This record gives sequence, C-alpha cells and structure tokens, in this order.
Amino acid sequence: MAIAAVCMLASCSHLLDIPQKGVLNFETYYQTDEEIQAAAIPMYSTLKANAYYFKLAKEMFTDDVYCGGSARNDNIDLEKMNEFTFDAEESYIQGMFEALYSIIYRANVILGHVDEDYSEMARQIRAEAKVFRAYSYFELITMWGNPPIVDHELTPSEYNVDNGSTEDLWALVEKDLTEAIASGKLARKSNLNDTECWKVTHQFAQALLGKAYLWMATALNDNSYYAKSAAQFDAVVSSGLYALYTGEYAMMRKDKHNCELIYESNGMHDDNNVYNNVSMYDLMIGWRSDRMYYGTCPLATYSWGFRVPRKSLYDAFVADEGVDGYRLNQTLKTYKQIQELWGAGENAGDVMISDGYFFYKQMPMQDDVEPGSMGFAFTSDFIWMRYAEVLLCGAEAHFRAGNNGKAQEYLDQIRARAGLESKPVSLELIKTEKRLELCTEGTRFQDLLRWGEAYEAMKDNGATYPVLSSNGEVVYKSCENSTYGFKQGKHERLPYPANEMRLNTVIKQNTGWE
Amino acid sequence: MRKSLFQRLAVACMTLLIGWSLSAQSQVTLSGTVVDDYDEPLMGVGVIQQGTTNGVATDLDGKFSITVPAGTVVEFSYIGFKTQTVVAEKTMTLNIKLLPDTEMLEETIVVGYGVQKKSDVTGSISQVKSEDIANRTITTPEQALQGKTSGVQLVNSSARPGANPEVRIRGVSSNGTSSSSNGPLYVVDGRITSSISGIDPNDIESMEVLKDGASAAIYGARAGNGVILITTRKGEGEGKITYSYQLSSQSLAKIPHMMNSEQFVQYYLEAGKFDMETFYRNWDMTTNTDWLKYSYENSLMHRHNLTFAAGNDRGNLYLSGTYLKNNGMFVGDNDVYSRVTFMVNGSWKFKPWLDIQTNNQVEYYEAQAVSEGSDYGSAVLSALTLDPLTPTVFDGTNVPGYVTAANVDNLPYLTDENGNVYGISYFNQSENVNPRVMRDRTHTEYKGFNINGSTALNFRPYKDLTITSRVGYRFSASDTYGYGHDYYVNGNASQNYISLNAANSNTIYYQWENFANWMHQFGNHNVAAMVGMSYSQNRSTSVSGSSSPGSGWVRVDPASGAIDRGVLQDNPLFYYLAYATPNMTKQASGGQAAYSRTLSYFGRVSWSYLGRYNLQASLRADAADLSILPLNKRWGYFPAVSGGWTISEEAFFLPIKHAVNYAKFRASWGQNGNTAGLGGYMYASTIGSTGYYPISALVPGQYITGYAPSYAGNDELKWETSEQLNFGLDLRFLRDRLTFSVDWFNKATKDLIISNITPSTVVGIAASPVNAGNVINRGWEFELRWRDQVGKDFTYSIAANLSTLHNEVTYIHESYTSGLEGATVRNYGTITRFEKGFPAWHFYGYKFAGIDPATGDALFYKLTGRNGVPTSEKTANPLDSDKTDLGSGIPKVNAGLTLNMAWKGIDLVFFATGAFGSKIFNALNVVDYARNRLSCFTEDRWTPTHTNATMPAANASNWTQFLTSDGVVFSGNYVKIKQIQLGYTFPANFTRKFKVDHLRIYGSMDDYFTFTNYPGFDPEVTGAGTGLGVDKGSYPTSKKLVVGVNITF
Repeated sequence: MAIAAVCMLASCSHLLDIPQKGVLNFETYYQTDEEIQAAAIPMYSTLKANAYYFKLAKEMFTDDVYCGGSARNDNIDLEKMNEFTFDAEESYIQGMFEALYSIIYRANVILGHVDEDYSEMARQIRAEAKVFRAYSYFELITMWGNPPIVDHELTPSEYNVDNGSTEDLWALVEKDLTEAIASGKLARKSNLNDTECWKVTHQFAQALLGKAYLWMATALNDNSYYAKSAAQFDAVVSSGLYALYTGEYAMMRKDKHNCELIYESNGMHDDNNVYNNVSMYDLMIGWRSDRMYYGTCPLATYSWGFRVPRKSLYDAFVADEGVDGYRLNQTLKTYKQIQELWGAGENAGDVMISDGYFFYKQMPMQDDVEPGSMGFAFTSDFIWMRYAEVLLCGAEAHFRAGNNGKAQEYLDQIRARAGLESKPVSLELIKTEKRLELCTEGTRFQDLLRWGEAYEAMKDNGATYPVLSSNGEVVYKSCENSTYGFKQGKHERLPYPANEMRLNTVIKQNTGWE
Repeated sequence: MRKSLFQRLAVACMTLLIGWSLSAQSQVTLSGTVVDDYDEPLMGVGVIQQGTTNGVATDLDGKFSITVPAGTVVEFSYIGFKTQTVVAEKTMTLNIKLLPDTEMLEETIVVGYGVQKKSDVTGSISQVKSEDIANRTITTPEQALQGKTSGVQLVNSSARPGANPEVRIRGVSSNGTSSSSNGPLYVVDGRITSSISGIDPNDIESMEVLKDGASAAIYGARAGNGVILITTRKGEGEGKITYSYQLSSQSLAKIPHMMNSEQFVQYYLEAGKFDMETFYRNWDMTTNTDWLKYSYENSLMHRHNLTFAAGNDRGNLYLSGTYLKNNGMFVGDNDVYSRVTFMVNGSWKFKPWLDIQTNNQVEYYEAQAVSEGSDYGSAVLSALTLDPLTPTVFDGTNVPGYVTAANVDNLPYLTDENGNVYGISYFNQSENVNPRVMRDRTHTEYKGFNINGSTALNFRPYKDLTITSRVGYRFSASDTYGYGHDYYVNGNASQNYISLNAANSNTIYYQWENFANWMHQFGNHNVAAMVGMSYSQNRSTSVSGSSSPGSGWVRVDPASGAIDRGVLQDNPLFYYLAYATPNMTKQASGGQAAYSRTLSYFGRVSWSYLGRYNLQASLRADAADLSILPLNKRWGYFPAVSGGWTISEEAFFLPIKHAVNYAKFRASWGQNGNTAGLGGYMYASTIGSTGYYPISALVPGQYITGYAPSYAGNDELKWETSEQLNFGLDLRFLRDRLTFSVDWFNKATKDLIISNITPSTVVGIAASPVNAGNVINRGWEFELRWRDQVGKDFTYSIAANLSTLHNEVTYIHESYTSGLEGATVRNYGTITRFEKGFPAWHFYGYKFAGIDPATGDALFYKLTGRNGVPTSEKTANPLDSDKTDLGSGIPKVNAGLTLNMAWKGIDLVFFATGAFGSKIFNALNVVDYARNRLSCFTEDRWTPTHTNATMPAANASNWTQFLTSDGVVFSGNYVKIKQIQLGYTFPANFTRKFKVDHLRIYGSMDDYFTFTNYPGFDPEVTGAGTGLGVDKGSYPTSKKLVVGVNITF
C-alpha cells in the first residue's frame, strides 16, 4: 500500500508546476498588436516617472537658478548640485542614470522580441524603441561622456560593460534615429492642432537627430555635421505641423498639447486616479507656500520654493528685451511685481532663499492640482521638447554651416514671438536667445558643456546664496563651502554613479571623479 | 553547598515527624542497611509503609529502622533506583540492595519520523515535558521553551493578550524579516506547520527542540532554523477526569519614571519650546496627570480546562477542552483575547499488526488590541509620553479654545462613558494623543478558527518493520473587521469620515507522508533504517475590502448642509461596507488563491554496537514548487552524519563508574535549508504590468497599460543553507541524580536571499533576488540538573541552563557595502543594519561622548571613518561617517534556572530567566513635539548652573543626533523571576472521601520581579525583525498574581 502510494506520488512532481498569477510568459509575449503596443508604454512612463530627476538636476547644474527653499540646508542634494559640491553618490545623478538605462533596456526588449515582419504596429513600436534608445543615449553621452553601450538584453555573463567609445556611441544614436525615420512608421500629427504630441513622432525623431548632429560636430570635431543637423531641423519646420504658441506665453504648459509641443509626457485629470499624477517636481518648484501669502495669484499654493531664479538671469533678460519685455514678464516676476499684481509676498518676519525674483513661466496653477490629492498631484504635462528649441538649434546649425539667411529666419521667429525686433544673427545672439527662451527647460547645462562655456558660467556657483526678507531686502550670505563651483577638468562630465562603480568591474570613472 | 543545606533541613524536619508516626499494635520492626549495587551505603532512602505516610529515611550509613503493623508492605525507594518492597511479617534485620533504575537510559525521545532511545541520541536535542508546562500562566506553547532549554531564545514584539513570541534557535540566521525567516519549523504529531499558537500548552506531552544540523536535517529545506517537535498528550489509566481552573490578576510590572507637571514645565521652559505665558494660558497649574495610571488597570485572565483521559494496552483516548479569556491590563475591554481549544486524541490497536492513532485540535479565538510599537504614536506610547499638564477629560463638553479654533471641519470629539470629552493636549499636538482616544478612535476585531491534526496508520507486517502512512491537515480561517471614527483631536490626529475595513482569509493545508521504520538486532549490533516520502499542499486565499472618500465625497454639502460621514447612519449597526454612502469608494483586493506544494523523500540509517558506538546518517531530498524555486533548482539535498561514543561503557571507565555513571561524546554535522525568504516566483523573469499611461490629453480614463519584464530573472536562485557542526558531552553522576551536558556548535548559514540588488545599473532592470549573504552563529550550551530526595517526603530538583551566542554577518552582496537598512527612528535615520562584521540588525549611530559643559549640547566622538575607532576629537555636529556599531539586541548569554521542591503535599516552584549582553535602543523621544521624557534623560541634564551633567540640555541643539546615538542605548541585561508557585495537594485518603483522586490548589506570582537597569517598560519586549531591541513603546509583560486548582476524579 505504502509502496503504491510512493509510486503514485513519485509521478506527481508535475503538481509542483504551479503557474504564477498576474503575469505573462516572457517567451510567448509580444505576439499581438495589443501586446506590442503595451510594451512601448513602459518607455513612456519611465521617462515621465523620472522627470523629477531630469528636470531638477539639469536646472540645478546651471547659472540661472539657486537651489532655493526656506533656508540653507533645506534640500542638501539640490544645493550640492547647484554649487558643484556633489560627488558620485549623488542620488539625482544615480536616478537619471538608472532611468536612462531602464528605458534602454525596455527598448532593447522590444527590439529583441518584436518581429519586424509581424505587423504595422510591430514596425511602429520598433521605431519608437529606437527613438527612445537614441534619446537615452543622447542624454547619457552629453552628460557622462562615454557610458557603456548596451544595445541588447544582457545575459548575466555580460553584466559588466566597459565604456563605449565616442564614435561608437554617436554611431548608435545616428543609426537608431536614421532607421526610425527611414521606416516611415512613426506617428505624425495630422495637422497643426492635432494633440498627439505625447507620442514619439517622426518629427521628434528628426529633431533629435538634428540635435545629435549638432553635438556630434563638436564631439567628433567634424563641421560637416552642421549641415546634416540643419537639414533635420528644416524637415521638422517644413512639415508645417508645428508652430510657435501664440497664446499667453507663460501658460504654454497649461494649454496641453498645443501646437508648439514636439514631445511631452502626458498628465491627465482623472478623478478616479488622482495619485497617478503625483508630481514632486511641481511641488518643489512652486513658490514657498508656508512662507508666503499668495494674494490673488493663481499659482498652486502647496509647494516648497526650490529652483529659484538668479538675478543674473533677470539681468540677461533685461539686457535683451528691457525691463518691460513681454517674454521677461511672462518668465519672471520681481518681488515688487508680485506684490503689486496679486498682493502676494512673504509673511512678515519670514525669510527665504531668493534674489527677489520668481519664476512664472510654466508654473503649476491652482486648477492644475488634482482635487483630493492633498496638493500632491498635478495634471500638468512635462515638456521635453518644443518647437522653439527646433528653431534655435536650427538657427545654430545653419549659422555654423554658413547659411546665415536661414539662421536669421529661425531666430527672427523666436524674437518676434517674444515681442522683439529682428537683430542680425550671430552666435552670441543665438546663445542668448536660447538661454532666455529655454530657461528652466533643461537644455542649458548640456549647451554650456558643448559650447565650452560651463566653467565661466558656473565657476562661482556655491559662493553665496541670497536671503529675501519680507520688506524685499536681499542679503547675500556665504554658502560656507570649502570648495565650490564648476571645476575645469572635472565637471565637464558627470560621474558614473558610485553604485555603478561598485557593481560594474570594468567601467572606468570619468576624469576628476576617480 | 545548596544540596547539603537542603538535606540537613529536610533530615531535621523528618526526624521530628517520625516521632509521631509510631504506634504499637501487633507491630514488627524492620531494621538494617540499604546499599547500592557497588555495596556502598545509600543515605536518604525512603522506607515507607505502603499506602501510608508512615516511614523513615536511611541515615548516613544507610541504616534504617521502621516499625509497622505485621503483614504490611514496606517500600524502599530512592531516586535513580528501582523501588523494592518487602512484606513485614516479623521483626527482622534486612540488607537491602537497590538496583539502579536504567529507566533514564531507556527513556525515549521523539525524533523526526520516529523515536529514539535517549542513550542513542547523537545530536543536540532539548526536551520540555508536560511537568515544565503545567500550571503556568503562559498561553502559547512557544512560551514554555523560554528559560527551560538552552539554545532557545524568545523574541517579543508585544506581550498583549494573545501575542505570540517568536522563537530563535541558536541565533539569527537570516536577513529575512518575516517571523518564519528566522523561526523554527514546528512538527505537531508529525504535522508540519509554521505556527503552534492554536495548541493549548496544557495539551502538550513533550516538546523536543532539534537544535543541531544533523537532528534537523531529516526535515531538510525548511529546517535551517531548527525544528521543534511537539507531541500532544495521550490518555492512560482507567479513566481520569481532570478539571483545572486558573485565575490571574495582571498589572503593570514596572512603572517607568517620567517627569511630573512641574518638571515638565521647567524642562520645556528651558527647551524654549513654550514660554511661561503659554503655560499659564493652557495649564490650570494643578493638573498632574498620571497617564500610566489612567491607562492601565488590574485585569483578569481566566482559564478553565477539562480533560478526560483513559487508556490501556489496546488504545487510548484523550479529550480536552480549554477556555481562556484574557482581558489585558490596558484600561477597558479593548485588549482582549479569548480562545476555546479542543483536543481529541485517540488510538486503537485493531490487530497485532495494525494500529491507528489520531490527534486533532480545534481552536476558536477572538481578539482585540490597542495600538503599540510605533514611534509616531500609539496607545501604549502616549500613556508613557503624553504631557502631565493635560487633564484626562475636560469638564463635560467644555473644550478649550485651542481645540475648537483649529477644528475647521467641526468634527466630533471623543468622549468617555459620561459624555466628558477626553483631554486634548495643547503642548503635544502630534499624532500621539490621549491614550483613551487612541483606544477608542478605531475598533478592530480579529476572529478565526483552526482545525488541525494528523491521523496515522501503523502497519507491522513483521516484528522489525513498521510502515506508517500519515495524513496531516489544517483548515483555518480568520477575519478582521474594523472601523475608524470621524473624530478630532488636533491637526495631526483627526479623520473627517468613518472608515471601514474587513478581510477574510482561509487556508487549507494537507500533507501525506509514508515511511517505514526497520529495526534489527543481531549479536551486539543494532541497526535501524527509515525511508519515506512526504507530499504537502497549502492553499490560502484572502479577500479584503475598505472604504475611503471618493473623488465626489464632501463632508458637508455646501447647499443643504447635510453631513456625509461615510456611512448611512452614525450608528455602529451601520459601520459595515454595505452601508457606506454612495460617494465613498469601496476597494476590494485579493481573491486569488496562492498554492504551494512540496514533495520530499528522506531516509536514515543508524547503527550501534555494544551500546557504546552509535553512528547515524540521513538524507532528505526536497522539491519545491515553481513559486519557490526555478525548475532547474527545484531539488535540494540535505545530508547529515552523526556519531556517539558512550565512553562509560568502556572497560577502562569502570573504576569511576559509581561516581560518573554515564558519559557520552556526541558529534554531528548536517545541512539544512531555509525557504522562508523565497516564494512569489521571485526568480522568474515574467511580463508584468508597469502601470497605465494616459494616451489622451483630454479624455479622462483613456489609458494603455504597459507591460514589461519585471525582473532580470535568476535561474540560479536557491534556498539559504545552514551547515552546522555540533560537539556534545553528556555526563550523569551519582545514579543520574546529577546530569550535565554541554554542547558547542558552529552554524554557518550561506546564500542568504538578498533582494533589490542591481547587478549593474546599465543592465537596465532590477535584478531578481540573489543568494549573496552569510551569517554565522556560534556558541556553547550547558544544561545541568540535580534532583534528589531527602528521606521519604522531601524531593527537590534544580535545573539550570545557560547558552552563549556569537552572531555575525560575514558577507553581504557588494550592492550593500554599508549593509541592509533596517529600523528607523522617525526621520532621524536608520538605526539598525544588517552589515558585514556585525550581528544581524545591529544598532548603528553616533558614539555619545558626554555633554559639552559650555553649551549643554551632546558631544560625539569623531571616528576615523565609518565604523572606525573614536579619535580624541569630539564634535557636536557629527557626520554620517561618524556612525558606527552601538551594540545589538541579540543577547550574548541566555540563562534559566528552575527549582522544584516538594514536601508532603506542599510543592514550590521557583523559575527565573535572564538575558545578558544585549542592548536596547530607546526610541521613545522625539524632537519636534513636547513629549514627556523618561527621567533618566532629564534628571541629570545640563543647565547653566549644572554644567557637569550627563544628559543634554533641554534646549541642546543636537537632540536629533543624540536620539540616534548610544546616549539612548541601554543595557538589555535582565533577570526575571517568571514564577514562584506554592501548591498544596490534599492527602488522597482525605479527598477520596469526596471521590476526588487528586486535589491541588496553588498560588503563584508570575513575571513578578524583574531586575534590570533598563528605564523603559520591559526589557523582554522590545521588538522583533529588523527592530530587534528597538523600543518604540511595546505592550509590556504584566505581572500576575495567580490562584488555581487542579482536581482529578
């Protein structure tokens, strides 16, 4: 009997094969259009979920802003980045680096598992994956220099990856974007007012390729890339699917999916899923609500007042367009202005870190806050690229390629929208317009590195910080950093995160960070 | 020394008594000498007229003289010897030779899938028997192990009614934080289980703790933390009915010293937290609330037990029912545990070759608890730390302005039974509020049942072979139901709707095991072999639901002014999910059944020669299901070998054998696994949902759900493996009166399961867990027992045990160079870590270096680096790199001592345990709110006139750092007298008049005295898991005054 039992049970080891619930089989997934489309979403949502790191870190690394907050040491990470006292343990750097490789992984999974011959959807999603991979590498190369090339899913034996060479890295970006564009399968807006700019489009790929060529010209020391770059931007312009936004300039982010937006991460008002839209970024950058009264100001009020403008940015605006410039007044408000406009200001006796200027452009508004989210969720989108950047990059590419006419044309459009008259194009002017037009939009740090102007711009970051009293008086205090500011020979590249250095046995740390 | 004292006392007492017992009616006198088998005279042998109290004891030379009625029977009894009887026919001189009782050698203990003679044991097995458990106030079997066995430690995160302590056998072997990751495997009458809480301790015959690797290895993949075998009771005799009742009065054992109002005011004035004006305004200058007194009361625990037992050589029956009700000492009836348990055990020998036995337990329980163990606030914590300036209740509904002004939502205030609003603190407007509000604002009930047992068929085709087929099962179900009131105390403690929650879960488990035991003797050889298989399935499922405000919910409708509290009527009869209002969102989760299955084969062979040499080897092969391990790693093999050498059986030992009658060396080696940290297909790389992404700007609810691989996968994932070496020596002296055993063990656990590692960031996906951590536990264990009788009436025994433990993490994955992070205190930092070179979850923080006499700030040593050594430099502003090891909550030494004495009908038990070498991290203080503080932090504080202080000034600038330093770490050493019990058994010839065979009454003081320097509640109850030794305000052990009665018919 017992022997019979043993024999019976010996054959029951298949009973141990209990299927897992709530998951699907990796090997048999990616077989239907629905599955293939769902595979693209993680790339979109990873970028959206990590917008906080990208936006704040890249803004902190510039000469346009202070860390801000209520007082010194309110957010030590932001201070370290703004003052160039961070090290390889910096969590924002780790956050960006991880997010980018996470997107690359997800792109690699699609490219490794989705069969090109399967369907139109398969070809489109493969093209999107290439754009995302190229986008990630663009960010990695322009900030870290020579990150490891991971162009397929790694098996455990391949987990240690060496730094990629500059040539190979840019070749990968160029190849991915060229193929994605050539496939013709990427989405396109149907007309100027089509709202599908939350999706990776043909024109976004072209604009990215244009940007890549602009950087490649410098990185590979080959001026022929300027013409290639200009051609890509021209293609975007000539598509006629995009135009500069003509509504209230500061409210561009609020007018969701307007004609100027090339690519943005989508936020959506949804009563039933308010916490799907938690945005710590918007919480961080809103004015310091516990130190201020807002009067009638329509900005969202539950926020912490980081990433505040420097006087130097205000001065640059004034130099370009005067104190009453339309774009200036839509981008920045002075302390006096906010008092006059809305009766807003600091609570008497309170102080906070500020030069006496407040960002107004693209700030979260009260009605962007999801009701029922305790002030944590916002319906605002994250803008990653807009048409103004296409025009400004296009202007630079044309100018450097010697085509001043086209450069002038693109630059004039930017200045016209800002309410400014045409000025003869020059590299200096393009740079100034780019700084002002795209301030706080995460382009300046990489631009300064490319232009070789980062040291001059940021060498004094971290010397002093301003303290604003309710009477409008600003006092500069020493940050008491023993060392601060952009260091030549070091800060041209971000450090590979310390954790990566511990885990990856072959990667080499960037110069100055060893 | 102690022995001779007791002996002398007892002999003196007896000499007095003997005088009375003489009478002169056809009497005969027996006299003579009693010697042992070496012809040595035996002192203290009881010489008793059978069935009476008439008797004497032999003197130093073994001589005795007793006068008894002619024809009666006289018994000669002595511990360690077989009792002899003589019929006293005439006056005569006798030379009695008592022969040793080898019962102890013949005694058996339970091992995995069989029993073994104690003399054949080659591993390290501790035993707790029913007499160690009887008449204690413990409510779960785990508690019976504490202090009674070496190598076993209990970890308590709470001592609330019905709380189960966690058991650690030979230390902490895993980084897993669930109770099963470090807890032993329990086997109840052959049924494998992870919990034994449903068994009443009174129904346990014996518990065997398989401590060494070889003994446990027969249970393979789940035995890495040791195995506890539980044998439930069996009926015997003609038929006995026993009723027991026990009544315990419980109260706070230890009252920590906190500041009174005057001290509180002074302290927070110095701190600059409030000015005198504020105190004047918000304190009536007289209130001095004793929150502990307000929060705890004397409470009762009742326990009734009725047992029917009978048995003969064909079979036996044991029926037992116990009702337990423990209303905890927190004031009111909100910490209550009540339980009904039944046990039905029976066996019958149908044929000489076939018998069946079945053991079954039924448990039903109900429980409610008050909140505890959170550094943010709990009923237990607030009773300690709420300021004494706040009155317990306000007069009527007369709520002060600082409360009403802030209550923008006009929420209700909670009141006592007289309608008086509970006092609300002005000075501490945190989430840690009036303990009775904490008690009353939510209501949660836990109820459930367990039905479990095992039934075995034993088949003996011929005399050397037994084949057993055994089925074990467990059906359990539990439900939780609760609601939270809408209420207002302050901005941090309020809720503007009535929340509801309910959950149901059930588990169905069965196992089927078939195994054969073969035993054969030829010549001087004894061989035995066992082979078998086991299959089990566990299915568990649960569904839970809750309600919370939906997007359309508003408390007060602006148009009508109607109030929506979240339920249709503000009446507990409506506090169910069915009656939530339409705008509340009801959420449900669960419903999917989780299965796990195992398949195992096992075998053991043993050989003994001449009773001197024992060798044993075993092997178990376990297969886990796919939820646990990948297919290619499914099978695990767990070998063990052990040997024993009974040196006392050797010829050369003979000269000292009359003193050392038994000596055995033991050695064992074995491997065990631990799969508790696995499960949930964690090795698998599968496609899972990554959340949904909006695809339309303007149409809400249009999403595409993303799917991507969840983890990189790890096809190499396997269980944690413990490899343990054990050496032991057993000695018995003086005819077993003194037994002593010592064990040394070294347990190395490798392949700990480490989650959340990144193989390298550029891989782009989270790694599946990997096997990347090692821990060692090493120690000595001593058990000593002396038992003796003095004369015919006085018996006593002393049992002591002591174990040492060295626990150290020896490796952890490179992702965690600074260790895994464990418990935190508020947002002040991580205070425990699982880190290479230190005990598991050791405390971690700044090294307190005293007080700066100039400023009153705390000073800390600058270290040479993280985990470095202190330099001579001290700083008030330490850096992260100045943090280091601050000790561990794991005791280095555990000890227990039990004294039993019986004289005539009186018996006395004294039982104490202690733990030494551990530390306690006191996490009761905060910096942001004015909590009351333990006096030890305030009495010797720095003030401008007292600069030579040991504690920081009230306004010190670095309290945050101080609270994460060893300034708040205390010695966890304690000795607790768990039991002092005095009982009296009425003489049988008296009670038989009332048909009562046995009647005992007793009184006891349980957990009554604690000796410790720890200033908080209870050094025994200070957290578990990653927070082992971190005191955030846990429900302490009560002290108990106990009376009880045992009656047997």
